[in-house]
Formats: sequence, C-alpha cells, structure tokens
Amino acid sequence: MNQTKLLALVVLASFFIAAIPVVAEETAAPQTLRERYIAAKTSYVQTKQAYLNAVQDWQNFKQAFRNRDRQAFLKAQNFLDKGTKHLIQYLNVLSKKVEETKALSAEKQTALTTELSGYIATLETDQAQINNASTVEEIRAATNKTKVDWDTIRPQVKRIIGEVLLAKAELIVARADNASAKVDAKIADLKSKGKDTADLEAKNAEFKSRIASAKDKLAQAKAKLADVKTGDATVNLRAADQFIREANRSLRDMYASLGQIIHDIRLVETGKSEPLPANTTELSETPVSPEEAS
Amino acid sequence: MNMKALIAILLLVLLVAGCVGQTGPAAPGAAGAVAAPSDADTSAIASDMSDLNSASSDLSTPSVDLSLP
Repeated sequence: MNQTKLLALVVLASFFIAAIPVVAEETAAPQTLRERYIAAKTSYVQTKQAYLNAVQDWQNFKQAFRNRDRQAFLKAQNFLDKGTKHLIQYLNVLSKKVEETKALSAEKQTALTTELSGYIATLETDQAQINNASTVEEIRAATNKTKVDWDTIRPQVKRIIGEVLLAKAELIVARADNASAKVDAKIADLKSKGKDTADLEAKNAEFKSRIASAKDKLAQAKAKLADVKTGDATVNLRAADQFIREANRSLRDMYASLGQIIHDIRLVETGKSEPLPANTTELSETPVSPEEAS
Repeated sequence: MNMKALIAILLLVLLVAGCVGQTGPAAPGAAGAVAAPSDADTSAIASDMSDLNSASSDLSTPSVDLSLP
C-alpha cells in the first residue's frame, strides 16, 4: 500500500513538472515586456512635456542670463536638466523596445541594450554636471559636453532603430518564404490534378521576385547600418533609410501578390471568387533618416 | 504486481502525452491534402507590417535644443 501511494505521488509529481514549462511559456514574459515598454513610453511623454514647459519658462530670462542673474541661471539649469532627462528617457524607451522585439536574437538584444546603457550612463553624468554647476562658465562647459555627447550618440541610436526595423522586416520576409513554400506545393498539387495553373505560376513568379527584392534591399540596408559605426554616419544612415523604405515597398507589393494568389487558388479549386485582403500602409519615412544637428 | 504494471502504463501514457503537448499541433495539411496558404498567412504578415509601421513612427528621435546665449 505504501509502495502504491509512493508511485501515485511520483505520477502526480511528473504531471505537475511536465505542466510547468508550458504554463510559464504561455503567461510570463511577453506581457511584462510590453508593459515595461508602455510604462517607459508614458514616462517619456511626461519628460517631453516637462522639457517644453522648462523651455517656455526660460525664454524670458536669456538676456538676464548673459548678465549673470541668479534666477536666470536657475531657469537655464532647469531647462538643460529637463532636456537631458528627456534624451535619457528616450534611450530608455528604445532599450525597452529592443527588449520586446522578438524578431531580434537574444544576443543582439543584449548587445544593443548594453550599448544603450552606456549612452544612458554618459548622459546621466552630463546631467549631473549640469545640476552641479554653480557658475555660468561651469554650466556652459557642461552644456557643451552634453551636446557633443548627444551628437556622437544620436547616429548610433538611429543605427539601433534601423536594426530593430530590419529585424521586424526580416520576420515578414520569413513569413513570406513560408507562404511561398505553401504556394509552390499547392500549385504542384493543382497541376497534378490537371488544373490550369499557368496564370497562378506567373503570379507566383512575381510574388517570389518581390520577396527577393525585399531581401536584397534589406541586405543593403543592413550593410549601410553596419558602416555607421566606422564610416560617414550621415551618408550611411541616409542610404539605409532609403533601402528600408524600398524594402517596405517590396513587402507591400509582396503582400498584395500573396492575397491575389490565395484568391486565385480558391478560384481554381472551387470556382468561387472571394474578396482580396486590404492593402497595407506605406512608410512615408523612417526614423533612421539623419537629421540636421541641433 | 498488477498495480505496478498499471502505474507503469499510466506513466508511459503521461510521458507520451507530454511529448505530444510539447511539440505543438501538427502542420496543416500533414494528413494528405496539400495545404494552400490561408488568410492566417496574410493576417500574420499584415499584423507584422502594422507592427513595423508603428515601431517606425514610435521611435522618432527627440528634438532637444541645449543652446545657451
């Protein structure tokens, strides 16, 4: 009897142990990462408003600042502090976006968040120097340092944004490849059943060419983004931005092709025509594009 | 002895059931008919494209002017 009870316990324990990873996979990480991103984004919107308020507050004190007025100094210190905090919070939002982007590998996520942590630490040091400044000369020096640091950081931040967008676009290409394999198999199947597949094959060729075009543009964008670290950041970011937009256009065309093919397969199989899926929107511009230095 | 055999069979069934659960559902069309790409394929792509577009607009870098007179 004791032996029976023991074995029953083993069975129960096996059942619960087997159930644990399934439950953990379904309920834990993704929602938490999304919540963390939304919280960071909310905080970012608040820091933006605080910065804009501080700038507004500072506008009437510029002349007095030149005359070394104490109140004007504090107004300047306040808007510089809020501006730097806003930049730091933006980097925090980007870091959370990297963390929640499943299309990025774990290694890539770690590399990018570590890089962003370094930039955040740099700007936090700058912010402390702004807040510790007690003279006009000190605050000018701290401000210049912050501007130089941000001008150095910004192109790399845009490179990271590009890497996030690329990973998401590559995920779409992978889905398209998967659908393409199904289309190939289905056309072969219909052909073996004596159906006329000439039109479908032509559309399939166009579909494949659009996937290939997206892959080509994404590969070129990836190469340009890699060059941002070592080459001319402005030139490479502009080129990467262009390739990402062109890739997005190819992806939209690919999506339209797939919808048409699915529609036509059903028509060949059943003789019934069904509505095509709605078009997707085009990226008018991407945040990878370089800006003029402020 | 019969009880032991029964429990061993039960363990084996649980083990097999666990393995099936971990590997997920069978691929569509695996049972013979060739599966065509479906609305689920286009929906997943449309959803990912929407995600790409919203990430693109979400991540615009801030415009901050840190100039002193």
